Amino acid sequence: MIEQLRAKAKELLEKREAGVIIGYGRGTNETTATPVFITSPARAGELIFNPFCYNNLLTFVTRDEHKQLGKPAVVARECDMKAAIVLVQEDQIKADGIILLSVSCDEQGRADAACRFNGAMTIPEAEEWLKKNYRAKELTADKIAQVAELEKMSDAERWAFWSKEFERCIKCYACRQACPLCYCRQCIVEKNLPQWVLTSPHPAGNMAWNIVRAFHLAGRCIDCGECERACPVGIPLLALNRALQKEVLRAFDYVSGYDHAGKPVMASFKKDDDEEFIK
Amino acid sequence: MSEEFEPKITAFVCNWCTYAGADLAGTSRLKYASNMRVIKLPCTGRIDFMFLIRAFEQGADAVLVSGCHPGDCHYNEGNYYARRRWTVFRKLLNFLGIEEDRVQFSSVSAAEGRKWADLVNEVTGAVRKLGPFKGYKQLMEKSRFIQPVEAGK
Repeated sequence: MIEQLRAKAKELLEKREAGVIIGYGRGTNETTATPVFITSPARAGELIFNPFCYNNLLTFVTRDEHKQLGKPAVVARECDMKAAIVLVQEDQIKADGIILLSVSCDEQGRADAACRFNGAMTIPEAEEWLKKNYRAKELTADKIAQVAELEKMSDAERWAFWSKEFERCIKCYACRQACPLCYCRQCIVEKNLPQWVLTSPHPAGNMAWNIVRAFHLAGRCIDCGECERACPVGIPLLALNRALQKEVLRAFDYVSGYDHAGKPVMASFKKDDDEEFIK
Repeated sequence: MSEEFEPKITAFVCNWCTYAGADLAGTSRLKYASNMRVIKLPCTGRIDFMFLIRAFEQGADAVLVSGCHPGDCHYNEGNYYARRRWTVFRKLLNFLGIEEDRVQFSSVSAAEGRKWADLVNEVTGAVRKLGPFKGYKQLMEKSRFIQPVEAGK
């Protein structure tokens, strides 16, 4: 499988169809992998794909320093492909400005022996492929098990749970940096006139930051889980994201990442949207 | 302490419908609870959810967002976008453990002075029953050594 991927990467670079391959390479030892940016066909053999490859590489395509390298061909698992589709939908990259080197991973999002290389895809092709092969795996019972468990608690219990979780937050913003959809050049936490989010890692600032992070991803999060993985203090951020995904699905019948040509769900409306909560 | 708890409620209202409705309640000399602090904005679509968080940070026990009825928006569709946003936002706050009654939404038109007065009484009653928003007050208490710098100060 990895040979197919390397061959395709080499071919894309040789034919100049892509300016840079963004993929995974060997890290400092056998049990780490690191993102690599390959611009010369001779280096295509450095690409690897194994259980230690977990970064969502779409994070890099919106950054200026990587844009300079030319059209990217990105090694992408299912959730990473959805990130690319949302980036096109939100006009951050052009639909023909990216190639996805689609790889399949297991249920945990890790590469394993059964992983496959599905070929190089354009955005519309990726969308079709996902609809056929991945749509049914969204928000399954085991994915929202933690959400369901929390929803069973009383309001006071949930408040206690989240306050305790957020207390550990050190405001490193790793969740934001790892997220392919947190692409703002100036994040709201870096604006200080007015200072919307209290910047110190104290309880009030942590609460505000975590609300901002979760809500700015409402209707956009593609459930790759990078925020939770990147979090050095282990806050269950994915549960927050999934609670919102669940609500967006219930209220607007929408799952993010399957519609590169449509409007984002929170930037559109229907006249008969649910309004039972409005007095 | 036999004094009844008087909640502080921040209302974010749109300029064209609810603010005019609240004004009508005043000019009609309707009497209603005085717990609401009204903040006027052009449209409910203008209301960033951070306004609500800031209100809680500054001691509000509840917030109310009120605008035009669907179809009546001065900017044609601002309240439709807002409606989607609040649908998800109130879910998020509730998922974090904030009681649903602390974050309320309504449509009050410029002609509905009576509805505004009744609404304020109703919301105030509901929040009075919930009591002070201890959760957020505790967060702020724990963070009291560091206060935000306000614009212009």
